[in-house]
Order: sequence, then structure tokens, then C-alpha cells
Amino acid sequence: MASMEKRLQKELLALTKDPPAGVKVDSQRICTNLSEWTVDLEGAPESIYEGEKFQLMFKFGSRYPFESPQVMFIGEHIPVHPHVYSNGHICLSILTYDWSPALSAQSVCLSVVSMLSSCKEKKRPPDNAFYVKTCSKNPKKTRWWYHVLLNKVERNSVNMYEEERPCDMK
Amino acid sequence: MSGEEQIECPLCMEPLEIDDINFFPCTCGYQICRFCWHRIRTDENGLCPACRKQYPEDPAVFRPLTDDELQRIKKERKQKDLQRKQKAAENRKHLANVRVVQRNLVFVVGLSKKLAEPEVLKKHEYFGKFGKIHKVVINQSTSYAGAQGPSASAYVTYHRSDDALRAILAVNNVHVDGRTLKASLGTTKYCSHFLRGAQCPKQDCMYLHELGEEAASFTKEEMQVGKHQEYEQKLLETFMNSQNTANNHVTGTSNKTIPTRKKATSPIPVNQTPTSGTPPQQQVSTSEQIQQQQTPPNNTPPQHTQPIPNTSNKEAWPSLQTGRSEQRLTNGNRPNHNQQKPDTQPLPNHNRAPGNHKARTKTEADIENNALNNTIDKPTDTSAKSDIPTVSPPQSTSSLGTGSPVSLPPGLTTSTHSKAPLGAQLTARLMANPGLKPILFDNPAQSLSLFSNGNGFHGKRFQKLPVPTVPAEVPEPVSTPEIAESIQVTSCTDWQAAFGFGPKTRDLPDDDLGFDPWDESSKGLADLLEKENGISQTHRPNYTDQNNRSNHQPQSLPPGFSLSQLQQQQQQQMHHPAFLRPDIGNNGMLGFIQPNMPPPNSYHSMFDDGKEQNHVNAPRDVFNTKDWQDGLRALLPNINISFGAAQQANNAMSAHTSLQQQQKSSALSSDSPPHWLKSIHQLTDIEGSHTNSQNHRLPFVQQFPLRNTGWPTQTQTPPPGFQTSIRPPTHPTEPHKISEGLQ
Repeated sequence: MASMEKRLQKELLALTKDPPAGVKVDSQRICTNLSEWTVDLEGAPESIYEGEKFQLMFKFGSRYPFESPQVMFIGEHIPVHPHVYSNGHICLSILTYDWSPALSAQSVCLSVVSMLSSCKEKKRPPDNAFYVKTCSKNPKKTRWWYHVLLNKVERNSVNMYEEERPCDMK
Repeated sequence: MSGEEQIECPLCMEPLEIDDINFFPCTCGYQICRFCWHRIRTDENGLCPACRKQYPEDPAVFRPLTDDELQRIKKERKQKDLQRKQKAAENRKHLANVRVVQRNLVFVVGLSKKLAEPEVLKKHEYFGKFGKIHKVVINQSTSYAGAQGPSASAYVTYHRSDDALRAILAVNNVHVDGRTLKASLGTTKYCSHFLRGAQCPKQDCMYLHELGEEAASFTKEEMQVGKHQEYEQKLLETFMNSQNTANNHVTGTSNKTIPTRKKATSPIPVNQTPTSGTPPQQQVSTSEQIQQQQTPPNNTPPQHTQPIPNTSNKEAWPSLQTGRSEQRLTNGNRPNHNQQKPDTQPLPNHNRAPGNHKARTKTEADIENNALNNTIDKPTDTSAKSDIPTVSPPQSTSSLGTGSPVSLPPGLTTSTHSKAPLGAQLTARLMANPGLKPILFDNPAQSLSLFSNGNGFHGKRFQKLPVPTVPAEVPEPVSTPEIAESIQVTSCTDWQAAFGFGPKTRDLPDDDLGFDPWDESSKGLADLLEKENGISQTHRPNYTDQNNRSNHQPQSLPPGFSLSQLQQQQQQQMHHPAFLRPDIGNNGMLGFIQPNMPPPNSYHSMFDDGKEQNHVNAPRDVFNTKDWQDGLRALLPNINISFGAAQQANNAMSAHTSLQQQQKSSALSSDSPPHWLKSIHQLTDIEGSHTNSQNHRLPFVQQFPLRNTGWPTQTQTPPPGFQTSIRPPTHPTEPHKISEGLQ
């Protein structure tokens, strides 16, 4: 627990000091509860989300960084993206299976921005309606199926969640 | 070295230990500490966080430090530590000469020896009244005394700075014990440990361990010039301004806080000595001081204490109704009440005033009288009258307590019946209730004598007992002298007159008794006797009669049975069950009051229980003063029994005695006691386990229902029942019932 706090403090410091492009952290707001962050994202220039603003919510469990944080879009504006469900859940492999303690909030932000930037067409995931109706509140409870793409960063994925969902990760 | 020190484990962000410096678990060269490495391999997926390769069994690269390297590193670290400390010390050296004005610290000069005591100064009369005090440090040296003669100084640390400022405004330039108090904000120096950059070993060290506010820090030279006083004046000004604004907000155009404070201040003359301090503020402050100071300088504790208790008492009284705890409080306060009588009397409420006075004594009658007077109409009188005859069928006991007590309950019931006056009555009752409880306790003693009379066993004695009995009762631990005072014949007479009972209440004791329970108890006794005689049928008629009067259901039967949820029924029942109470109360009362009392003796003779009573008496005397509740229970042992919450041996004892009483009485009267008597015995035996038949509960339960509507169903609920009973939470009518029950 102590290690988690220390790490979060350092990460927060790093993120506020040196945020990836289009990422903004309100450290004042986070001060009260270090395990829950709200991060402002802005669509990268020259991407189809240019100028759009989104909010990402991070929830860090006590096992962080050995366990991935819970990350999802919140607020009114949720990007229309094939890997982002309308309830804010993100189908991104590093948020579950591919999480590594070497990753950080900063790298997650970078991944999400990159995911948005690489998108060519604004559309919801094909199973959005069903998933939103049946999913758990915690995206980490979803059993995601990831398509491995060529690009390593975009290994992220299309979600082909299973019928049993919501269920625990394998 | 510095570079090495900054190396951290990328996962846990802890600095790498010396042994970790050359530890690289993965071939990729990603360095983590051995704690994280171990965790990943045992609890996690065992993959290198960076390259996601499985960690090999042994670290890829691990070259333990040689001894030389170790030594070198350690030495360097030590040196660095030392350097850091020295630097800190140098940085803080100049602080040794600095004093920091503490906003929450009051420095007082001119304390007399009497006052130079931390515990004294902490009292509410002195510095305690301005706010919560953290610490008081007395400096006995008289160096600050000046021409005033020996005097001490003190540092008073408040939790809040506002309190300190208020204290200064109030205390500065006040004359106490022939000395002029000078109060100002105190200054504090830095702790020597802090100056050395070391940890202070003292847990409660009052010196500074961190840098103080720049504006509040003054060197000795600056202080000699008086700069810190300027700072203090600024603080005071701002404080007063804020206060003024606050006051203005509250009172509109009030002139500062002065007017409000004046009220509080006592007429005590306060000597002001104009101070040479800052002129504008000082004036204001002085004026405020005078007003604020009130009594603290004068040291007249009595003044302080008196008013406070009074107010509390006043408030406490009404609250008594609500809870048992409150009742306890009142008990504890009793002595206070007595003293405060004068204060309480002025209370606007008729009911309250009498209630307070008599509360200890047995002024129930008075209270009720008041209530009755206020609420009850004459029609009730008639009902009351009718009750009396019915209630005390057997023997001459009617003259006893029945006159007043009996009448009371009926009046109440009647009043309740008439819905129109209910509201008024309720309020009146509520008012009276507080008094009622105390009365109960006190009453028992008197009630004993009455009870005996009521039983008819000692009727003669009772008659004999005239006034003198009262003084005998007085000795009760609780009420003593006040009782005599509290006994207000006039009020009783008034009440009786109102009800037309005047003639019956000849004796003071009767008035005192004015207790409802008595009447009820007498009734109950009569009923018992009848039952014993084997005339169960006749018994019913009595109840029915009462019921009829009150337009209640004829159910009365065994009191327990009748426990209907209806208020009316309950009220009626109250009469029935009440008799049990008196019985018990008598027993308990005997113990409480005076074992020597004639009634008790008679009681002994009656039941041949002398030994047992003595038993009970001894413990009770002790308890009387101690625990109010115990007293209650003792008084009403039946209740305890019924609830099965007999917490104390005493209670059990009382219950026993009561049982025996009943048993004996039954035995005396008839060999075949009614079924419910048996059930009662069972109850007492079992105490905790009340199971089925209401018959068992009958007497006991009834009492409860009176107080609490919900009770009838729940027999188990313990003595706490008193609390519930008293408080009028759900049903506004409950208080009514309660009062009635008491009466």
C-alpha cells in the first residue's frame, strides 16, 4: 500500500510535469484522493478527434502497479471509437492482459491518445448496445478479446467479448 | 554517490538498497529491486515488466558489492548525512535569537499565588471560559511582577487563536487580588533540538520545531523595541473587527460585542488601569474586557456555578420525560435542585415550578394538581369521585392516600377521555411529567405508610401517622430538608378542592402521597384481597365499574388481560396494575426510607418478613444515593421482574419480597390463590422468561403499558422500559398515559 502511494505520487508528479501531448492532469483535484484520478484528454491535431475533449478516469487498486488500473472515459463526451463503448469502457489490451508494472498512468494516457489518433472512422463497437446493457461497471471485469494488429502499440483491439460476460478475467 | 542515491526501483519507487545496486534480474537489463522481483515471481505472472520475458530462476546479473565498496558507500552516506545536518544547523542558528509570537498563546503577568496553579487557571471561571485550553505553564518567578509585589506569570495555550485573543481582551488590565493582570500574546522560541537539526525527544515539547511565520518572528532586539506588540495589536484589531462584523450581522446595528456581553457580566467592579499600549484598540479592548470579564477576576465561583446549574436543571427537567439517563441526571442533580429551588420557581410554567420543588419530595400531586387545574374540567371531578369509592372497596383505607392519589388518576383518565382538552392536558402533563418521576422515587417512602394503610392492614397506624410521619420520611437520602419545604399543603388542597376531594385529604401525608400509584395500589390490594377471598367474580365487577365510569371496555378482568392497546383501556388498566406497583413500592420504599418507620414495622408484623425486609433495606440504603435507577427498580420491583432484566441482586431481592408479600397476602386470605397469582410467582421465579399467558404478566405488564403503549406486547423489554415509557416519541399521547400511570 505504501509502495503504491509512493509510486502514485511520483507518477502524478511526472504526469503533471511532463504530460504527453493533449493530456492534462488537475493535480489539485487529485490531491484529496490519490487513488482516483481524472485526466483531461484532447484529440490530437490532424486526427478525426481533433479539438474534441474527453475525460479519462483512473482508479488505482491497492495492488498497483502490479495490477492494472481501471481506466475508462467519463463525462458527457465519450469518443465515438470502435474500441470505446458508449459507457466509456475502453478495449485496450494494456489495461488488462498486457498490463505490466513497468507501465504507468503516463503510458496509459499515451496509449489512449494514440488509439484515438490512429482511428480512421468514428463508429461505436459493433456490439455496443448489447455490451453496454450487460457489462459490469468495472471494465476490468469484462473479458476482452483482443485482435492482434500489426502495430504493436495498437495491439489494443477489437472487442469480441464472450457471452459469459461479465466475468472475471482469465 | 549522489547519483547512486537517486536510483529507485521503477516499480515501487523506493530507493534501491545497497545490495540492489548491482542487481539486474532480467537479461534485458531492466532493473528492479529484489522485493519487486520476488513479488513478480511469486505473486504475479513472473514476467519481466519491460520485455515480458519470463524471469530466469537466477538473476541475470548480480554482482554483490565487495566489502570495500560497501564500506565506501556507507561512509559516503554518513558524510552526506552529517553535511546535511550541519547545513540545517547553520541555517537555523540565527533562529536561536528569534521569538515567534504564537496566536494561540496568552502570556499573563500579575497572577496571585492563589491563581498561579494550572488547574485553577484552566477552570471555567478563569481562562477556561474563553475556549479550550491546551496547556497552562506557570512561571513562579516574580521577575515580571514589578511594583505589584510577588506575582506569577503564566502561559496559557489555547487550541484556537480566537480564544486567546478574546482572553487577552478580557483579562488585560484587570485587577485581581490586588494585582493588575497584564495579558498579551506569548512568544515561543525554537526548540534547541530543532536548531541542531535533531529530532526532539520530548513528546509534548512546547517549543517550536518548524519555522514560524515570518511576520510573527521577532528578534530580541525587535521585541525590545516593541515590534511584537504592534503585531499583536494588529491581530487584536482584526479579531475585533471580525467580531464586530459578526455581531452586526447578527444583531443588525449592534455596537460591537459589548452590549451582549454586558448582560452576562456581573456587577462586580472591575478596576481598569489604562495601558500605554496602542491607543485606539486599547480603548475598545478595555471596554470589552470589562464586560467580558464578568466574574473571572473576582473569583466568585458560586456565582458562576449557580446560574449554570439552574439553567441546566431547567432544561433537564423537561428532558426527564424522555430518557432514563436523564432521569439519572436529575437524581444526581437533586441536591442541586434543592438548592436551586428559588431559581426554578420563577419559571414561567406553573407546572414546572411546583414540579421542581416537590420533585424530590413527592410533589406529584402538586404537579398533577397544576396540570389538572390547567387542563381538567369539573366533569373530571365527578369521575374522580366515582373512582374513589370503587377503587377502595375494602376497609377504611379510602381515607388514606386514596383521597388524593385515587382522584388524580381518574382525573387524568377522564381528561384523556374528553378529547377536546387533550392537547392542553398533554402539554400540561408533559410539563408535569418531569416532576412525576422524581416524585415516584420519593413517594415510595411515604407511600409505604400509605400503602400499609391502603392495604387496610395498618389503617390505624396510618391514621396515627399524621404530620410527624412526614419528617420521618424526610430523612430520605434524596430529598431531606427540601421535602418539608416541598410539601405544599396548599397546592394539594387546591387540587383537592378543585376536585372536591378537599375533605378527604386531611393529612399532610396524604397530600404528599398524592401519588396515583397509591390509590391504584390500594385498589389493587383490595382486589387481591377479594380474590383471595375467592370472590373472583366480584373482582371483575369492580373493574367493570371503573371501566364503565370511564366508558372503557369491561375487559378489566385480571389487569393483565385488559392490556388493550387503546389508550383508554390502558388508562383504566393503570388503575388496576397500579396497585401492584404500590405494593412493590411499599416494599422498596421501606428499604429506602426508614427501616424504623412504623409502617414497615407493621408490614413486618403483617408478613412476618422482618428478616427479609432488613435484608432489602441494607443494600438499598447504599444504593439510594448511588443509583437512581436502582431506586426506581427497588420502588417498582414488579417492573423489574416482569421485564426479566433484573440486573442487580437488589432488584431480585425486592422482587422476591414483593412476591412473598403477595404470596403471603394470598396465603393469609385464602389457601387457593387465584391463577394469576401463581403465574406471578412463576414469573418471579423465572424472571427473564415471560412466555405465554398474559395472566402471568398481568400486574407487571399493566404497569408498563401505562407508560408505553408498545409495551404490552413486549414484556421482555427491560427496565429500560422506563426510558421508552417516559419519552413521547411516536405517540404524542404517550406522555399522557405515562403521567396517568404514575398518578
